[in-house]
Amino acid sequence: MSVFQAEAFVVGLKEGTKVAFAYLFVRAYLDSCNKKYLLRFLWAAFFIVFTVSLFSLKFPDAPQTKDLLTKAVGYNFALLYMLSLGLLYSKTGVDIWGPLKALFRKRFIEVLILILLVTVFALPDLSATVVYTKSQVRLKESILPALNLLMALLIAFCLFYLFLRKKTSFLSKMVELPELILVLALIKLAGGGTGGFANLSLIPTVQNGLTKLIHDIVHQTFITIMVPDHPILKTTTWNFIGIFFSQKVALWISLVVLFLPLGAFLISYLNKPIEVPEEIELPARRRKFIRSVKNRRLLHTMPVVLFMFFILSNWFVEKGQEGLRLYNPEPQPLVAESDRVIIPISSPGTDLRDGLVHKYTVEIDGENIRFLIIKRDDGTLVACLDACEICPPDGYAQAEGHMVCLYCRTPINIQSLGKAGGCNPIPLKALVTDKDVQIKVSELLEKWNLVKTGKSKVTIKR
Amino acid sequence: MKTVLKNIYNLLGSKALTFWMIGLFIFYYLTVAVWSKEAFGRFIQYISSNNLARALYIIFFVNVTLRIIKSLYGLKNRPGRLLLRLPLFLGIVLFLFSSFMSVNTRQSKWELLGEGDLLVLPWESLKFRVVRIESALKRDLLRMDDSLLFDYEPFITLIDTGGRQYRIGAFPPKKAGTTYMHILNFGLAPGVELRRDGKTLLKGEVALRLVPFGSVDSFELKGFNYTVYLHILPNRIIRRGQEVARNYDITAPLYQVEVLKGETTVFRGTSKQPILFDGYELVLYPPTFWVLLEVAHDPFYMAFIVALGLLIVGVVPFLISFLHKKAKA
Repeated sequence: MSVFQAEAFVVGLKEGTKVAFAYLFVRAYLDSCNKKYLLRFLWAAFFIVFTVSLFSLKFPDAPQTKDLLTKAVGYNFALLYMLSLGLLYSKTGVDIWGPLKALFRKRFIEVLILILLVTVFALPDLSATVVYTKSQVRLKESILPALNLLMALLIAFCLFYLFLRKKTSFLSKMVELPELILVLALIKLAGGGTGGFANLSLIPTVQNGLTKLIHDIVHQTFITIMVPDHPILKTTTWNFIGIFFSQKVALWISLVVLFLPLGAFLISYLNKPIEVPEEIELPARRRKFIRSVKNRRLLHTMPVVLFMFFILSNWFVEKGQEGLRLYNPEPQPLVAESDRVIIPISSPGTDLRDGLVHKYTVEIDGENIRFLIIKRDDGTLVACLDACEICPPDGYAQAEGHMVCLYCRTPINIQSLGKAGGCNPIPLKALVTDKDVQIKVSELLEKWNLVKTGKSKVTIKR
Repeated sequence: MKTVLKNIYNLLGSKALTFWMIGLFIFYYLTVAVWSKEAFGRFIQYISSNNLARALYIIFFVNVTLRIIKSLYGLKNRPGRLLLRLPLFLGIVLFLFSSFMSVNTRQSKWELLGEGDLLVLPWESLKFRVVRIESALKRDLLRMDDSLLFDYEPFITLIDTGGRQYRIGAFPPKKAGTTYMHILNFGLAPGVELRRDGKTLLKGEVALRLVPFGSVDSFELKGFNYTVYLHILPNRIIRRGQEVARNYDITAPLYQVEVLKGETTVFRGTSKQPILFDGYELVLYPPTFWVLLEVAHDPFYMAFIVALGLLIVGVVPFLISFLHKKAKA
């Protein structure tokens, strides 16, 4: 079995497991609240969503499509997570729904919500899998990866279903609606990656989103208290400020942001006063009742604890390393051919798809223009100038999992390369063929001018 | 009428409203951050310009304030706990208030200044003149590959119309009159003179981004169709084994100069030699310094700083009080 086929098989297993787990938990929930009639709607909704996802075969097999679908998967995970938080919050005794509560009990609304949930949960993931399979089939020029994926999907689903279907009575004790939604969010988090082996879980996407939020808040606070955001300060002050912008601090704060509402729920839910019905008079029975409520509550907190445990055990695996070793290769000189520079994807000793940054320099009209090419997490190649619009053009180096601006030490998410603005390297329009990457000379010159002539520069006239 | 007012009061002070307001913000942030970009920047822009966003923010602020007042009122018989929670609660209210007011009332500008320049600000009755700029670089400096960008924090000394002097650095900002000021950037401004037949056609200093050394910057000779590209070269290079040190004398820098007419290079060389082209002579003089000064008129600046302080200081006593309560329960 080739790597392509093995990858397709693993993706199939992952998707099958996701669907099986989700189905089992939903079924357990429907069992527990005597709403088995919704099962047929669940299957119908899943069938519709599956059919709709097949339309994504019509999507172009382009990085933009994959980017869009990755965003959709991440977005829907966040929606499910937020919804579960809201429901958990209401479970602590706060009435957040008000008059809407009566509306939710109507059958029609229940079915509608179920269809919506299935769509939110499954549509982007299924579409991403369809697009992934399509690209594998195209790359391999064979239907085998698709067959492998389908086979693995069915195997995983059947195995997990057969193995776990007897456990639904236990599961039904564990999940009410908030826990169910949280479990669905967890399933997406664990297996929502859309990039094959390179990206099986959604953890990096969630980390990037949260660290960006933390960075934005810190930056806005610094703007308000008028701290310069470039190293004009004394080194000690700058290093102190750098702590707040560091990836590690952002990761810790992100973890707190994720854990805080769940932790608050656990404290609040487990400490919620227990009201013993008046008709239970015997102290022994009252104690028994209290014990049973406490046990039930403990069972209900299991999915929350599981969610927290999963995040905690994965959070620092990829990005929690201590020392930052920078990889900054010497730029290789290139010569422009007619109106463009051409860089072969694979040449003796070099492969642009090796995940390392590749730097080049080309002399055009007496200018030495530096640029870089790197493979992003989604497998696409991206070309950028080795400079941004803000800092002096010191360039970038590669650290563990991200790029670093050598001037201001800002960490740049590799997946965000190709997007303009801020401290991101200036993106270059490049034609990526099967054999090479081609960049027009005019494009290089135009973008290099952005580096040379700072936009904010003004001359003092006397 | 009384019932309606009471209902409004209850709604404004409810946990459910806090939940929905926070939920709304997260939904907004999530949607914009994923499908568009710069969600937080846009949020700040909205609360400074959009009335709907302002109204929602004010509702949230009132909600939080009412809940905090209720919570503190509930602790009136427990002075210890009240005291422990007060700093954080005050910090939250002050933070929400001052950040909103600051965003809505702040006027700010970036001013590029050289020695002798006059700083006139629309909101300030005082005028300021730049008396002195203290360099961030040593006069004669040796640079290794891993050297710091600047050797010192730069300072600018201003004098106002009343004769008061202000020495302003990069951080923290200093108050001059009603304005907060601090340095955002520092650079060199080479003296430039364009001559023809011994006659001066242009003369002045040009603020350029030549630091870190090696950075190329350019300026145009106004009225003449020439663009001059400059970067600073080391006056001396010292090699010892693998180590390379570059010596720069910023009182007499050595420039790499390139003069372009349209797209044609008419001169390329260093400033050691006379810069002659098309009958013109370009003379470069020792540079002066420029700073980029950020000036802001913000009546709520101090309140924001105090709020941040209270938030940081208030977390620990709040946690102590919270854990103590839980332990008791």
